[in-house]
Amino acid sequence: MLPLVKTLIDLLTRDTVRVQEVNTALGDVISGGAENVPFTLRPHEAGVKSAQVVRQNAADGVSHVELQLAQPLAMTELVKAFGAFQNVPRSPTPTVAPRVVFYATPSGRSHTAAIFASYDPGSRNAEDGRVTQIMIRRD
Amino acid sequence: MRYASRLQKDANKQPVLNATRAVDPAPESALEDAHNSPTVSHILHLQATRGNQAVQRMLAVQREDDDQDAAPDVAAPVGILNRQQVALARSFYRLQARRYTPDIISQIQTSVGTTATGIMSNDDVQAVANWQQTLNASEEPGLKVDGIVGPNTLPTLFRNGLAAQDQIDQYSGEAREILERWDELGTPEARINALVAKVNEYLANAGVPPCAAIISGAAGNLGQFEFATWSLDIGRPAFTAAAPTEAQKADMADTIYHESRHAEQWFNMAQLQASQNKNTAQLSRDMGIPVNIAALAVASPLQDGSVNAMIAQGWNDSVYGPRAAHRNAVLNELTASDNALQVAQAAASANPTPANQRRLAATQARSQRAYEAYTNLPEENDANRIGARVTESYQAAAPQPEE
Repeated sequence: MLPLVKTLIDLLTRDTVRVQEVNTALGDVISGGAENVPFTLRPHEAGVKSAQVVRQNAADGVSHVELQLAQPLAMTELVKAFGAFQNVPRSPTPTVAPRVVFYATPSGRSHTAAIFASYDPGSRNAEDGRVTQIMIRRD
Repeated sequence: MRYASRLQKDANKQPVLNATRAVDPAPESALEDAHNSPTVSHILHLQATRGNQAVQRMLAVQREDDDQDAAPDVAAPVGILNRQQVALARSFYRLQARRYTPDIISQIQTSVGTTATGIMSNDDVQAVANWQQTLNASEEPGLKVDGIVGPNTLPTLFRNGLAAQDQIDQYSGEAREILERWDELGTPEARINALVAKVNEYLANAGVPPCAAIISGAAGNLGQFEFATWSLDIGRPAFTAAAPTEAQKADMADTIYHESRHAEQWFNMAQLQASQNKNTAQLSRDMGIPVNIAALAVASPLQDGSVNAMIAQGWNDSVYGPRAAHRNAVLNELTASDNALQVAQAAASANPTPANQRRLAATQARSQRAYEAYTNLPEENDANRIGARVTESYQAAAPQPEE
């Protein structure tokens, strides 16, 4: 699972990235592609139940990628991979799960990436939370 | 998402907020600023050791002392608030003098139709209370009638951006034109794209960057603003109906405007934080918003001490500031109470024993309290009010049947 996230970060922080490249890295397109309709994919990676690729405006670039995890992932795994997280305010939509964000700043890249992890809180809230969804945004 | 609790949906003939009005929360950071004042320390100590009544007695005495310096207010206050309420309201402004500057007070006074002096008098406080009471007769969610211009009341006095009535009326008319072309547009995607393109024109008028539309298949989610991707995520299912009713169409127009208002709030919060000398990268990280949006906010910071900055401060206190923990608790409780209500409804329906009925009544009351707390969050109070005004305007623009 984490290798896939790292691959996506690598793609999304390049100078240019095309939707097709991200789709290919992820899996098979099931639907989507019309104006403002994200691509929905069946990922090759078994740890990911489904994925969505959202285009940047109407262009061929990528805004962000969402991964619905097949099994919850310990937040500590993401901390090991990406360092300390930062808390993010809850969405105005009460049904949206709480999230934290990690930032990836690969050297020599013109873009960075923000990795938002939605989680079910543990006894120490996010720290020992179980991550259910990951969204990687190209910045 | 414009959130209606299950209880509200079940009992929407019985307005939840008619009797109990939401409380306008105090701007906490301003209270914290004021904590260094000996008066505030004294009040807090008194409150802790002797209770609220002692505080109220002290404030009443203080008000009488102050009134000796303010000739026009020597007489007992005339209006809907009693002496104690007036004293509390005036102390609210005095204790937060750094936020309620003479300039801000003057603008409030002008808005409520009293003389702009820069100092809140008894008459001014009564005029604010009168404004709150009058507004409650025509708009929801409610405001507490207390003479205090807190983060819920302030945006109702200064209706800027998407809150301006001319913008609401114009949008409602144009949204109606789009939705009347339901069949011609043909697909849910075309309907959603047309509405989002339209609302983006209004965001542009307000100086807010446009939101991307993201059309999802999620049922039960008409729409939501996502600040992390600066998008309006709209659920496709609601836009697939063969012939939606007028009420359903009004709800679509309302929800998309409501969610766009959240975008405006978030951008104003970003402009506020940008005015505190944050650079683009800091702002993006601190708020979780995309870098390009942060850059635009840095290029157009709100003016310190302006009414717009003060309105944004109320939202910022709630979402990113000292009220954030309270906001999280309110959102958590809203979901938890709704889940508990579903369980209680199922139990009472399957087995309507007196015990299950009592449990249902208790969870209904809990859900109602949670919903009231939710609509009392400054950003929700504001967006819900504006959405409701869109619905009203949309319905008012309906073609009249020919006689």
